[in-house]
Amino acid sequence: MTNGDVIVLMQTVHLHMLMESILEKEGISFQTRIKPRQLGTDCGMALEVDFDDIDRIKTIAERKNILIFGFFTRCNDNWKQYIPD
Amino acid sequence: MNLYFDNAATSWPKAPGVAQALFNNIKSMKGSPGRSHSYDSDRLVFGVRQSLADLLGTDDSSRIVFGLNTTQMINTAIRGILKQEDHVITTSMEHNAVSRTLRYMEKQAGIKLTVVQSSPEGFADIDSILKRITERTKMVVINHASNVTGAVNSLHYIGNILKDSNAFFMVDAAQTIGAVDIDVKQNNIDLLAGPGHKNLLGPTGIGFLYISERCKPDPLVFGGTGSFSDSDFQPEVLPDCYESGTPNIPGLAGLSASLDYIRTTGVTSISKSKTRLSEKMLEGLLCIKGLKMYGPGTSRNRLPVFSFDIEGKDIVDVAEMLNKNHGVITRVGLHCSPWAHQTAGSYPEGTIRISPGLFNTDEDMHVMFKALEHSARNC
Repeated sequence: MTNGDVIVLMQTVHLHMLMESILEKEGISFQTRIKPRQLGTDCGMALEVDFDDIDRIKTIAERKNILIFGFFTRCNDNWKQYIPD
Repeated sequence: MNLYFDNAATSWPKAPGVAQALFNNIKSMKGSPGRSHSYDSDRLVFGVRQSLADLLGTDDSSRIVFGLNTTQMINTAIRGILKQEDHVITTSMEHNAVSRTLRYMEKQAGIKLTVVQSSPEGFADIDSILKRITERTKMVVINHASNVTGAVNSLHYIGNILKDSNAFFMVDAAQTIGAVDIDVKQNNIDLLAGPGHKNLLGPTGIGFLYISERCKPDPLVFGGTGSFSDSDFQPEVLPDCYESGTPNIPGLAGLSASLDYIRTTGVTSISKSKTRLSEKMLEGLLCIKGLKMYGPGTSRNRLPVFSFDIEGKDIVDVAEMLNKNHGVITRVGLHCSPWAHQTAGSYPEGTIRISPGLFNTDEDMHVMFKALEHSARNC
């Protein structure tokens, strides 16, 4: 389980599934959920991950050439884009 | 009891686990992929895409898109890419899925079509194809194996020549995917269409198209994808661009099970079994008095897909007797491939086609040959 503080958005369901499979292999905790309304109005999905895993996820995505649409952190009742270093 | 020998049309029986997977899916799996809480469906679709990508030798499974069948996927590729004045080269062995689509595009869209004569056995004349490539050539479409004669074409030379040109290399792999090793990267294939239900041993209702980085067909069908829903326009990203509407989820569950079977068995091993079937077929058919076979006379570069007629006999009568008196199911006629029959010399009557499958036993073959011998003599 994650604490639900961070959302990772992928551009497509396919990329979401690809990232899911990679996170699973890498042993990184995640949970799939519906994309928050503030981040999009389609029927897509999002990955909830822990804040501490952001850098690792970013590194893995870069290594595997997978485009991440964005990281978003919870900010009161909204979500704010987080840009890792 | 029926003995099924029409595996070139669709395989039967299906791979172990396919029927159960279909049943379990309909009974238990909820949701339409890409639509909110349908995660299990999404994972199923993703898994099948990955398995097919592995089978075809590509790393990027988003380049495998699903549709109803091979024909629809061929239409997507041909109609999505070709525009007025584009030149296309194809062979005289093509199935109607290719020939009718190209003829339609010739008449309606003004493409320029060159049909290169194949050998009577069904092999493409690679040199003639290569000689006809010009700067205007947009696509070369080739049947990997004939559904009439079983001849398997070499893909490597064409792909190698086209990779540095403006022309795309398209392969109709309806008869070969699952039976012959195909590597889209090694063969520089740009577009490859195939079915889930023939040599992949899955259910009907699933076709797929591989699309290389070099090309981007316009989609044939537009609509809901579950993604980018606030836009009036079709998503441009793969695979969403080509997958509007709800897919055949039970079919994909069945295909997932059959791909597991193919992976475990291995295409190389399946290919060897197919060659053994071809050897048995050649041995048996050549003993039938008056039988004239169309296609390669050896088991090399061929699939166990055999077309023939019997001197002085009506092929429909022979096929009917095989079915009614002996329970042997074959396929008789033009097999949706009039060009191939013209090339082989069996047009307009067509042939009886016998295509044993992976699960036909020696005993099945023995019974079929006895039945054929009897039917050929007595009908």
